[in-house]
Amino acid sequence: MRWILDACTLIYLVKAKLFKNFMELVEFPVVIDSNVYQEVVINGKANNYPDAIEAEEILNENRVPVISIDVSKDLFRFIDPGETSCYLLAKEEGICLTSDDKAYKKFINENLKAMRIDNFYFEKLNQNRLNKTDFLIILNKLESVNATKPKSILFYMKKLQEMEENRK
Amino acid sequence: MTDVVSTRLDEKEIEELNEISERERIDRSSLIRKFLLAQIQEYRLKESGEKYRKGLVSIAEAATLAKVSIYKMMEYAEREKIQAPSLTDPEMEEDLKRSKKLFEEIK
Repeated sequence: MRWILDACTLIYLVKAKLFKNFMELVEFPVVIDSNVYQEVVINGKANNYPDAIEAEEILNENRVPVISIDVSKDLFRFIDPGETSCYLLAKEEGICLTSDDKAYKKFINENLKAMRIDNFYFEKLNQNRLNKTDFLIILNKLESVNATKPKSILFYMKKLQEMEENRK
Repeated sequence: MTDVVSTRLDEKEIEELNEISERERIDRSSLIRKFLLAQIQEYRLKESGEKYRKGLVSIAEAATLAKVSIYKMMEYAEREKIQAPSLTDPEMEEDLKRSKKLFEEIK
């Protein structure tokens, strides 16, 4: 099994300074495809985005493999090469991790294994790999970079309340 | 390959262009081209930003449609306060169940 990151999730994790924390929580390898690398690192650096340089450093430090895949025949499914590559990689093996609701819905409609980044952290809370305070800090960080929405935060707050009531 | 495109402008507009051209130390033709290209990009951003707002495309797809980097699209969405539609509570409940099941499968 492996986790496959799409471009927006990679950028948001870097922006929110959550990548290191994310890598500590994953129990399987994390991979990206060369189209995602192109979008996040190469194009980002060419346009002087500091997050692109940070993303490159983080990917190197964590030895995240960059897999080359031909997306030309499947581009019609997602328009964007990065998302198409996530689709193709997940079709082989793995779970697409995304912060984008539309991309998530598309992955699910294609019968792929996919998860939203905020759900990933919520499950880590359920697995006791995160405590409530850390989970809430992560949610706030995700929201500050638009990787999750206020409505989702409200939803998780309700869930936390339900969990606490059930414990009583 | 380039081609010449002509357009009519009134005197006041030409005067304004001349002023900016002088201030920016750039010839008028290059200035018009610069403005035109910036406006074309803004138009594309607006158009794909709307599709993103309506939930028709993802942010990465919106960037591809606008022919800009994903960073630029994210900046535009933030600047214009564009948010894609939120998932409904039942959808989020369903996602939670799906995520839980996925974690159980990969244990």
